[in-house]
Amino acid sequence: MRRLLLILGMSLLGGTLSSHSQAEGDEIAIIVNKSNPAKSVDRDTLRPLFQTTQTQWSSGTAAAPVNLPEDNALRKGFDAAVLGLDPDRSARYWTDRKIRGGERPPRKVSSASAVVRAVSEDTGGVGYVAMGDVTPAVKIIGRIRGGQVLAP
Amino acid sequence: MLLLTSLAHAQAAESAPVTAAPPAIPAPAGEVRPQPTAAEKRLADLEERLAAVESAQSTADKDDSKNLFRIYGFTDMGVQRTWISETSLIAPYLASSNATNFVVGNLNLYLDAQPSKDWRFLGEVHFSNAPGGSPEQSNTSPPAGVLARLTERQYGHPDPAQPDGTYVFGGLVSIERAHLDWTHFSFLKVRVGQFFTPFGVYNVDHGTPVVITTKVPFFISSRMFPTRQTGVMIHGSTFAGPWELGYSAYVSNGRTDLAPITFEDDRGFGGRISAANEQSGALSMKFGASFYTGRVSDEVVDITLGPGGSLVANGHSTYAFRESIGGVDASFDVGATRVRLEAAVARKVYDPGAREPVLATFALNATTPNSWTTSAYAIVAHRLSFLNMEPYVTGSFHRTPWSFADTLFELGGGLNFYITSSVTFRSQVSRAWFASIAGTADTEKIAPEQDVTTAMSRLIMSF
Repeated sequence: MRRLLLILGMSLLGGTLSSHSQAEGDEIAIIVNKSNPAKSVDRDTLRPLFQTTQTQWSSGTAAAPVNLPEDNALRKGFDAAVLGLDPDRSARYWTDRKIRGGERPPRKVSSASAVVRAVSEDTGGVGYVAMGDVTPAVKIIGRIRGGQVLAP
Repeated sequence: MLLLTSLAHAQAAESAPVTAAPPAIPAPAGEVRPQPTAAEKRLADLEERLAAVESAQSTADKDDSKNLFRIYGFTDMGVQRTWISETSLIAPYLASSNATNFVVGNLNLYLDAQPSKDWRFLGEVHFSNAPGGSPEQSNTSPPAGVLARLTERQYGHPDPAQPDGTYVFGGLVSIERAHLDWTHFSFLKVRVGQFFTPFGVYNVDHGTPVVITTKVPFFISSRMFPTRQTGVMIHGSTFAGPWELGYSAYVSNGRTDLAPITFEDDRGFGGRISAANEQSGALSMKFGASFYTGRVSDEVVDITLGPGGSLVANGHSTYAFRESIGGVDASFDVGATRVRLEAAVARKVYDPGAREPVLATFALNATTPNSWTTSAYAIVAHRLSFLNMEPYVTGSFHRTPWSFADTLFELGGGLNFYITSSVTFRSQVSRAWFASIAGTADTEKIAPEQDVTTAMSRLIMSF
């Protein structure tokens, strides 16, 4: 009950995780584990990581990309900017990969907070969330705005 | 709405089985109210705790990394018909010639296990009604004047578990692939088991949800290279800018059409190199070159009477040859247009005195010569936004010394509909005709008409 009252207070102050995602939904932050030495990332680096054809960072650390569900707006924006795929083609891409026997797709979690957590717990973690959902537990190495991958 | 969302979060947090951060302690009565900065800090702390609870919940419920074992697959059903002269010697070997048939095309299940990060098992099994209904030479003596009679293998059999004589109908469950992979490095992966030969594009794509055409190109169905092999393969890729440079190299039992084992210690060797630039949505292209060499032989054991009336076994081959195949391929996706090209050349050289007999239904007392075989096909498809349809055209040729011809040409076209991301309808009509370009075969002597027209359609679902 005490927790419920606290959350009520938080809501009145206007601060919840969901509100971050909605308020700053236009810009996507590309996040990695804080131990990752990379300072920025471009599309050519991100694309094979999220196609799971490249399984390591240039440092040799095993890459652990984390995706959101297919119907998530951030996922759609990320797929369009990085993979060049709309939702239908993205679904077909992964179906084709399965039938060919290719590598499994990136790990998929259900929420932005789960992405942050997964990335913060794995040294090779890389994911994407709304700017407002970034916490000090992870590091931003890129942004996606207007369908373009930009420096942080 | 925001309030309701927060309430829902809070209630879920209270009922969550995970251990959350300890509840915050309210300020004692009479204490000075915290400054705004302190309130913000406290709010951030609460947010972090809430996020931890939320992610713990979602991780437990919907994190697909927990799925260490997955089952998926594809299936397709359709209608097909082949038109061919009843006097053609090819007709008996073509499914549903001169009759329209509803068919279950494929039912393939994938077993995908990844119990740890660097290790994976992938199996694919294909359920088939074959060999029920497949052509075979009759065991019974043919009527007078008939040299050989082809018939169909029986499809149904009495079920021995049923005392009432119920029949059971069915056929083979074939292993399409079954391999263990070590995948720690992207530039060096190790595969052990049975795998699709990494030769060209179509052979690895192989599944009806993926390939463009309904009919398998003769490039594949002629089996000019072994479509799957059992052995050890290393493969991997690295990136040079947007280009993925890949390779594979393997040693295997070679072509094992007669048995899933080899009869001699000469291995099959092969490999592939490729360069791919998958700028999906704009221009995607892939180029590859593949190679394979191996030996093929059969094994028979003759039992004879030895000295003193003892039985003596003599195991040997009746035919043996070495085959070497090289091929190149190119794939282009330019916007909504897809182009696929493959070509290969194969050389087959028999051991002295060990040539393979030609099927008696094609030629009597003939043996297969040493040969060169060349084969190629091209597919051009264009996706339209209207009804998500994709018309395509395809053409191929295959040149090899058959007894009745030396070259096969095939032209075809079709229409695909991408109904949903997992349901596709494909159709194709094609016409194939044989010719004797080199003039070494007498088509008239064998049959007056060998041309084949095929119509096929498939409703395909991946799941």
